[in-house]
Amino acid sequence: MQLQSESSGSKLVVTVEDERIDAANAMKFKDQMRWIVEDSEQDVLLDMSQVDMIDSSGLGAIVTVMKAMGSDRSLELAGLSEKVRTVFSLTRMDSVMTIHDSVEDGLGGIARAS
Amino acid sequence: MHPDTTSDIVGDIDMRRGVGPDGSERVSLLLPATNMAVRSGISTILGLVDQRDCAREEIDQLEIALAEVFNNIVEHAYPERDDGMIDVTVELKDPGAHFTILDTGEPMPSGRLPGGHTADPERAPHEQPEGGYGLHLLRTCARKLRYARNGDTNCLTFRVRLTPT
Repeated sequence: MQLQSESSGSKLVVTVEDERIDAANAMKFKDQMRWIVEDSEQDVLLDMSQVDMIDSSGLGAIVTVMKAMGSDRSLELAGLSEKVRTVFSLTRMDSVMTIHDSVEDGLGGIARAS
Repeated sequence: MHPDTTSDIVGDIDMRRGVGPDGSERVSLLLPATNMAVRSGISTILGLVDQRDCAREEIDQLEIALAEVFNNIVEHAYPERDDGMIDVTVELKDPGAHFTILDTGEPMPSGRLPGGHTADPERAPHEQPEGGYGLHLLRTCARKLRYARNGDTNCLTFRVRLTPT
């Protein structure tokens, strides 16, 4: 599981450089994300544009990371594939989390719940 | 299995193709119950089904269903083991595919598939449950989902619709 993180203005952009967040690597994703977010106080924008598929393990890992960040910081997503959007929509996660079309949108505009 | 079968091994996966009694194409796969072999298994099954040129959304939902079924088996049927096997039969029918998935691992607790749930839009993101989404995804993406325990075997069957485009 490869994650790149870069500060951009007030946000920390974390790019997932893996095509899947699934049972095979969700635990590594979660551990690495926790390490990154606990090392910062910024809001996080997760760049998912390289991710083709996420399963319930991956979804659970994202929720764990959100809990670790607490209520004062936000974790938003950008660049979801059709398939990943389907997973978020079927589980109603898209009504809970803020999802941007692109990292640019996530950094530029005012955050809007989708 | 009909005598008219061909078989080959793709990576760790033992695959046999043949024809079922009703004339529909039937593929059987035997895959190790490990996360990496499951990835290969999903890819192989999608490859078979994709040849029928179906709607992308249907293939995506099949992938979602398969990931959840296989993850459950790896994690709950064969906990702390990496030598379990998953026996998959895919029958390609019109207008869809029928799946029969067998494993010889632990039975489902209370003898049935748990329900699962969605996220709760009335709660904050950091207050959401961490688990339970997989079963909801499976129930939403698979049709006629049935679980049975037969002797020492778990048997899960379901169908998906595959509409030619």
